This record gives sequence, C-alpha cells and structure tokens, in this order.
Amino acid sequence: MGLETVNFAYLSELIGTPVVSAQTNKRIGRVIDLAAVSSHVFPKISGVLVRPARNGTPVYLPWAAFRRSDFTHRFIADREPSALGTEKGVEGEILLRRSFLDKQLISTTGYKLVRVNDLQLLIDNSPKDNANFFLVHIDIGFKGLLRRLGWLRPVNAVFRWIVSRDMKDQFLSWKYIQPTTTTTVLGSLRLTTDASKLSEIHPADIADILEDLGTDERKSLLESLEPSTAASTMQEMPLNIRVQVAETLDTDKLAQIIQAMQRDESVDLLVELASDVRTALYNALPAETVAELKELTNLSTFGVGSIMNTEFVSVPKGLRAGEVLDRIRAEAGRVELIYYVYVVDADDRLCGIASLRSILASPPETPLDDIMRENCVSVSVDDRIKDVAPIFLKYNFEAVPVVDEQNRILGIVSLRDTLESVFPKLREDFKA
Amino acid sequence: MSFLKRLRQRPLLRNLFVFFSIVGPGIITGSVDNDAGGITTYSVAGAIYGYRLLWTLIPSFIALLAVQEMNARMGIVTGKGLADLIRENFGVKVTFYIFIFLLVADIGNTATEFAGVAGSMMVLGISKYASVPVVAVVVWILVVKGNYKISEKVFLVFSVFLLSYVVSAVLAKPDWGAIGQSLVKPDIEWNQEYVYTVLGLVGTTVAPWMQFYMQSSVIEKGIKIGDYKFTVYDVVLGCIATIVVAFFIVVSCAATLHVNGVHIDEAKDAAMALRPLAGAIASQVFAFGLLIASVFSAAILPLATAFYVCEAFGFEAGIDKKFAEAPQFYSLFTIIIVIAVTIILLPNAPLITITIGTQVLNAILLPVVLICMMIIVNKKEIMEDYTNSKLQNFIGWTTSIVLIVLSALLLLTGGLS
Repeated sequence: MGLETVNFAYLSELIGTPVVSAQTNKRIGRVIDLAAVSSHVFPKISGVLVRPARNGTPVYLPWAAFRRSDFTHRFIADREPSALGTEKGVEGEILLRRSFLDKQLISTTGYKLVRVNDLQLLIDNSPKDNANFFLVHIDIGFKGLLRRLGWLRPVNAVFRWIVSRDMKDQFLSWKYIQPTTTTTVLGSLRLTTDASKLSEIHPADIADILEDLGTDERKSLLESLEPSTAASTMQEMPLNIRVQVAETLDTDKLAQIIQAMQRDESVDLLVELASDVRTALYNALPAETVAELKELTNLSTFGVGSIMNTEFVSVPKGLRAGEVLDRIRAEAGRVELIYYVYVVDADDRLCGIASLRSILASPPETPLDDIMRENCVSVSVDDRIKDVAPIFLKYNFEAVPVVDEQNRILGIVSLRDTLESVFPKLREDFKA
Repeated sequence: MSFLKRLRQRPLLRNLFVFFSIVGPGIITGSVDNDAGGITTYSVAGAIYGYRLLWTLIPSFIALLAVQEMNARMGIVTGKGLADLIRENFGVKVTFYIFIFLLVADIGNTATEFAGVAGSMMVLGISKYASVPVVAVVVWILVVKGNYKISEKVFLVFSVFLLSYVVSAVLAKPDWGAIGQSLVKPDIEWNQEYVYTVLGLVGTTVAPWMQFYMQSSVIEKGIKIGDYKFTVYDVVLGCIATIVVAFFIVVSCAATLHVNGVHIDEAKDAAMALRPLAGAIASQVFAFGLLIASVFSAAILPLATAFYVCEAFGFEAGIDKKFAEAPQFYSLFTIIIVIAVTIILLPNAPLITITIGTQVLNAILLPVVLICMMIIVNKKEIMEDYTNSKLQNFIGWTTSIVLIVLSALLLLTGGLS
C-alpha cells in the first residue's frame, strides 16, 4: 500500500453521514452504524446500517453496494430507495458502534479495562472499485472524548496556542484489545466472545479485570476461556465474587470449570453455592466426580477434609527408584503436589513416604524400601485444621497424608492450603 | 472455620450471617444522606415552620426507598455502576454534561460538609482554621492509606452516633400531640418560600450523587441475586435511619427555635440557639451530631465523586488500587477536598450562596439522573427478569415528575421574584 492510498477516519465522523442514492442523487438516509467481520488481524467493514429518511427502522446495506466517495461527507449507494430493507447481514458480523463505542474493553498489554471514546478506521484506497475500511485503533484518550463532544477544534486550537503542539492521541491497537461484548447485526444471534487474546495474561490479572466488569461481560468472557484458564482465574477471585460469578454461569460450563479446579477449591465453592445450582451441577458432572465432591463437601464441615487434595502420587510396594520416577513423570501433569511419593500396600494402606528429592538422589535400581521412611506422620479427615497446622511447623513438611481409620490414604493436605485456612482473613485481604 | 460452617447449615443462622455480610451500603448511604446540608435544611425547616413540614418526610421516605432499591437492584443484576450504565446507554454527550454538573455540585456539597465541620467545632470552641485542615487530612489519610473494610466499619459506627439527635430532640421537650397532628393532617401552603423549603427537604433526602454511591457500594459487596432480599432489608433500614434522624432534627428545632421565634441560616446557628433554650448539653449533642455527619460525608462525597467520574470516563478507580494504578482517581479525590477546604477557609466565603447554588444544581440534576435510571431499569436486555414492576414504575415516575415540577416551579418563581 502506498502512502497516498491510505488514510484514516473516525467512527464518530462517519456516524450521521448522509447516504445518497447513486441513481437519483437524492438522500436516502443516514449512517447509524458500521458492521464488520473479523479478517486476519483487523476487522474489515462489511456493511452499513442506515436509518432511512422516511421510515425510522434501520436497514442493512452490504459494503459492496457503496461506491468510492469522500466518506466523511457522504456515502454513495447503488440502491434505489425502494430496494432498502431487502438485504440481510452476514453471519458473524458485529456492529461497531453498538458493541464498542462507550463500552469497556480489556487492554491485553496494560492488563486493565479501558473505556472506548472513539474508533479509528484505516481506509485502504488501493482496490479499484471501492476503498476498504479496517478497524485498527481504539481511541481511549481525552482527544477522542472532545471529538465526540464536538469540542476538539476549539480546545486543540487553545492547546496549540499555549504549548505550540497538537494534543496527543491515545490509541490502542486492535491487536492488543480483548472485546468484552459483541452485538451482532441482526441482534438475535449471540456470538460467543473470542477470548483468545486473554490467554496470554496471568489468571490473577484476568481475575482483577473481571472483578471490575459487569455481570454479562464476566459471564461471556469466563465461558469463552479454556476451562483450565477459567478455573485458575476463578481461584484468584475472592470467595464471594467467585460464588456470585459461578451462579451466573451456564451449568455445563461451570461443570467443566469445576472439574478443572483443584479439588479443595471446588469444594470451597460448592459449599457456598445455592442448593439448586449445586444440584444442577451434580447432574452435569460425571458420577465419579460427584461422588468425590459429595464426600469432600460433607467432610468439609468437620476439618481437614475441606482442604484435602485427592490428587497425589502413590505407588505399590516393591518398586525401584527408576520405576518410581517413571510413575511420577506419568502423573506429574495431573497432580498438583509431587514433593512426596506415598507407598501403599495391596489394600491401599499407607506404609511409607519417600520424598522426590530422595528418589532423585538414589541410583535407579535402588529398591524403594531402602529410600522410604516407614514411620510416617499422617492425619485423619476429622482432625481440625488448626490442630494439623502445628505438624507442618514441627516436621517441616510440604504436605501431610490424610488417612481413614484403616490407615488407607485418602488424600493429602498441603502446607499452603493449611496456612490459608488457618489465616482465612489473610488470604481474603490479600486477594481483595 | 468448621464451627462457622456448621453454624451456617442452620437456615435462620445462615440468613443472619448472610444479612450481616451484606448490610452496610444502605445504612451508610442513608446516614451520609443526613449530612451537613441535610441537617441545615431540616433545622431551618423546623425553625421556620415548626412541626408543619414533618409530613414531607413520609413522601421523602417512599421516594428514597424506591430510588435506592432500584440502584441496589441495578447494581446486583448488571454488576455495573450507574455512571457506567449511563455512559453505555446514553452516550458520551449526556454523560459528559451530567458529570460536569455533578462535579461542580459535589465540590459545593463537600464545601458544605467542611462548613459543617467548621460550624460544629466552633460551637465546641475550636477555630475553623484548626479544625477544617485537621479533619481534611484525617479524611484523606483514612481513604487513601486506609483499607475499605476498616473505613466501612468506622462509617457504620459513625452512623450510630447520628442517633444523638434523638437525645437532642427529647431534651427539647417537644409537643408530641402537635407532631402527631401535623403528620396526620398536613397543611400545605402555595407560596415560594414553602415550596422552596419542601423541595429543599425532598432534594436533600434524595440527592443525585447518593444513587451513584449506593450502586457502587452494592457492587463492591459482591452480592448475588439470590441474596437480593437481604439487600432490600439493608436499604429499608438505611431509609428508616435517614428519616428517623431527619425527623428528630426537625422536632428539636421546632420545639425550641420555632416556639421562640428564632431565625437561623445554618445548622451551627441551630446548635448555638439551642443553648439558652434547651441547655448546654442539648446544644453540644446537636453540634456533635453535626460534626460526625459532616466528617462522615466529607469523606464519602469526594470519594464517590472521584469514583463515578473515573468510571464514566474509563480511568481506573477504587481505593483498593495504588496511586500509580489510578492516578486520575486519587488526584480528583484530592482536588475536590482541597477546593472545598480552600473555599471554607477564605475569610469572606459566600457560604449561603454556595449552599443555595449547590441545592439548585442538585434539584436540576436529580430529575435527569432519575429519568436515566428509570429508562435503564426498564430495559429488558439490561435487567432481564428484574425490570421494574408496575408499582415500582408508578412510584419511580411519580417521584421523578413531582421533583421535576417542584424544581421547575422553584426556578420559575425564583427567576420572577
């Protein structure tokens, strides 16, 4: 593209522009919105919403209906006024003004919400028949605000007189923008928000942003995130917000997120959910997860069970260090904490613990029996969390196994989760 | 932990627990409502008309309740502040002009709060050149360096102190029979001063900035729609507190100042005038209530203003953010306080003009904000199943229309005379 073939226009300048019929040269209406489809990087304008001069219902005209013109003064359409209202938008088109103007968007470079004052469109004049418009920049600056108010010229003149330069624009490239809502052309079809640009942000930052968003935007963004990302994001929110958000989500989506969450975190959430939401959730989740969750939620009222994690590495007796390492490698993707390997007998009874460090430090052929400690500290699911906390202090463990009356291992409790429960306030304050 | 969780399995205890975790926004907003400007208006109304204007507190209560309930509902359903909703639904122009007016009105309001601080401390024997800067700094530190949860608790305790007006009123030995009669059989006059005072009373009870504050603090609480009924209780409690305090202020001034024909211009005058009529204790209690109310509102008003201006124009805002994250928010908050304090400390500040000007601005803004609210709260695509019921619409529109008519009357007659 040569420089002379490219220039820019603002959405605010295009809205309200008269639309003139090419045949009759008469005004047939005014531009009220532009429709766009997403192309490679920048959305491309694909249609125009026009309010006809006679009757007030907006009609859609495809971009192909327009001829090249000085767009900020008039749009020239190859349509008879009588033909208006016969065309429909294409699937996937979104309305720029309705979706973005005055709304909040997420800046994926600044990790924050910004308010859209105006949109800047690039006009590519190189095609022979008509120019192409692309949405390239979001105007979030004061200058955009003044332009919308119609005060830009006088204010800028005063500004130039005082500091002898123009006011600065504050643009964000579309590349670094995550939309929060989209309105389709026909209004009936609800497009799923494409949240792919959010995946580069840390879940803690996404959580901060989501807390500042409205209910609908939160819902559509969370639902369009990968379940694992959505789960880690929700875990970063304060519990009351987490519950509030969870109850607005689609049940199937919530089920996926709950499954992707760490078990102890999903139990915290389940306990707080309204009972009808919980019941719906149980129907949507696989039976085995439900059984596990139900067990944990009942236990939670008594103590350690509420913060117990059921994902841990356990191996049967009689393996060698090398084999154990292979097991760890195979399980590492699933298991959150792999500081310890729990050695169990044929009945799942705990008979020893080996730290990851000691296994790594031993030659591969060393029998596990030589590495593990047989005397292991464990707690019962009914133990109170505050009685378990001192164990960490005393023995300097990262995690403690939880066993039932027959010494069968049920799960582990981590130092981190214990600390959080002993100081619940600490954690909420930190997140808030 | 487990003990608490077990407690919460019981329905009644669970309900109480939820209620106490939700309570706050309504009561705090209600209390901020009885700020220095409010106390002045109530005192003046009591001194001039005695018990005769007490009836206005009943429609005020209904209007207050209807408006705040809508704000709470909009906050919970949309998760968005009122500024946000107005910007998204009415575009940048409407938003900009509303907020320019609100900003000016709120600077005036804040100045009135500091005038209340100055006046009440003067009654207690402390110069305004000492009291106002000290209070301003304390307020600034509490908000900027403090933690919202702590501030909220301090504010809740503050609102209890406002009950000191009940003491003040009882000490004034009012005529309860006359009070009852004025509530049951209101006598209405149609002259400019009467309309002006009525509008002042209603206008100070339902102030535009409060609606923004109410909605934002409900959102801050993270209340889910299932617990909405508890929020309604909170709102009702807040409105009752507001009206009860207002009632006793009018009564204490009516029983003393009106009976003895004392003319006052400011709340401070009321406190001073109470001394010979009802005793030094009544006077000091009145001044103490004024002080608490003023400090309380001097903290919340600039905060709320800075918050909703930033929200409307897309700057980061919130006291949980650091200065570097939300520079516009903190600058705005600081500037509002500095301007307000400067106005009060100027030797010949035209206080009465500022108070009246601010009230007129409030009276013009209120219908605009109310109409915006009524349109938003009835939009199905925003409120889904929680749009207004017929009764709510009736009360909402009646409130708006009555206020518009009263404001128009005031502006017209004011312009003629």
